Amino acid sequence: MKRFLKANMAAVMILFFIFSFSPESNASMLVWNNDNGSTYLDPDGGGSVPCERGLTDALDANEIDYETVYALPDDLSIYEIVFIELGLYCLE
Amino acid sequence: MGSYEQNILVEYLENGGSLYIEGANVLQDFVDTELYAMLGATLEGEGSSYEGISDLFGTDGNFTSEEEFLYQGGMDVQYGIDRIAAQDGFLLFEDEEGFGRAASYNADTYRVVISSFVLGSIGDWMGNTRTATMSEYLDFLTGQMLQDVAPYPMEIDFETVIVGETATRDLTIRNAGLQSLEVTDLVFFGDGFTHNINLPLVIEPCSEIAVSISFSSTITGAFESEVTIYSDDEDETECVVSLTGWVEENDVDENPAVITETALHANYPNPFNSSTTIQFDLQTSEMVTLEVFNVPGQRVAVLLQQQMPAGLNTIHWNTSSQHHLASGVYFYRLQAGQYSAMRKMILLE
Repeated sequence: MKRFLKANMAAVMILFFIFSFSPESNASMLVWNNDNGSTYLDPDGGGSVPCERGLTDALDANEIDYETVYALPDDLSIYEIVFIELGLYCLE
Repeated sequence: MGSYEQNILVEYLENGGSLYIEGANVLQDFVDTELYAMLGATLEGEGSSYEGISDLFGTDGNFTSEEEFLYQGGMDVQYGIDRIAAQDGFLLFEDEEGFGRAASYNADTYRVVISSFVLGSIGDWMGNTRTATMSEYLDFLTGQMLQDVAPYPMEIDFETVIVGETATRDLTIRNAGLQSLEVTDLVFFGDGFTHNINLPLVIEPCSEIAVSISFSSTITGAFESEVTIYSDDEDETECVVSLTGWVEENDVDENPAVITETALHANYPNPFNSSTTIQFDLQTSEMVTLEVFNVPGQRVAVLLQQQMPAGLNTIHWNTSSQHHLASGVYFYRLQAGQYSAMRKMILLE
């Protein structure tokens, strides 16, 4: 019994660690990067940069925590705002 | 974006989500779908058949009012950018030709911002930054944009008024916020201008009220004034709209014999900031065309194209409605019958 409790305690500690220290665990904003790899000319530094960059830079500058995904999750109910980057081309 | 993802987003919005979507084909991508119908805007034109854009202007009557950005995305993204028409929502940004490129929609149960230019492709300029614009988007999308006073137009020109007569113009005060706005006072700086409303005035969220502003004077000359809108918008408790007008005696017909020849006079003031006055004499009543050209010879404005009476005629040109006019030298040309003359003027923005 003691061994069983000890093992469960360890599992609880591991789960606690994961949920407490994962950088994305409490994100309420989602960025769905669906830009199809398209780029634009960076008005500040020049050169081609991914379309997502300007959006995420602006979120970073506003100190917003967000999670970036490349496939839209089925359940968006945990997110306060969903940001979608469609880039420059229309693809299915 | 396929129908699978669209259905996820429809469900998300139906359950009170907030959505920001940017992409050159932001509407073209899913026209006539259920998601499209929820965005509060419609596709006005597929950008692929139009030339590029160079500037983006925040629209009056919204939280982006008076913002301005240079579009610097590069050739590969200057084409194929959707033109957006606000349907149930409001335009946030227009290009230099007045075509919508971003819009917001508050559907009460959910909120949306759509943009056909990617945020990164506009350059921070003239105190306007992508960071600040994103901050406004966040306030709107999270419902933290409380009251937001957004009048339009920001400059009202009453043009020429005869002594003793009254000219009226509408000043629309919009509440772009998500809570009721109380306008507590409207205060004019200078004489000649009055309004017709009882204060305080309550404007519901995402609604607007037109205020009639009247202008008259017994004194001739140019009038430059402003009206300050006081409200409970915590970010902008005082919002100023500029007012201009010109009062003159109705003596054109009284001394027709004074005019001995047709002539185009120098505009004043010159150089000018946003408005200037052009006068010309007509010996006889003529069909008149008054046009403005830039240095390369492109016509940028037609100020007059109609039959005008003999005598002194006065035209006031306000450039504020022509966003794309840059500072520099311009020429105005008068054609009246066989008479033609051109003069130079300098616009300083």
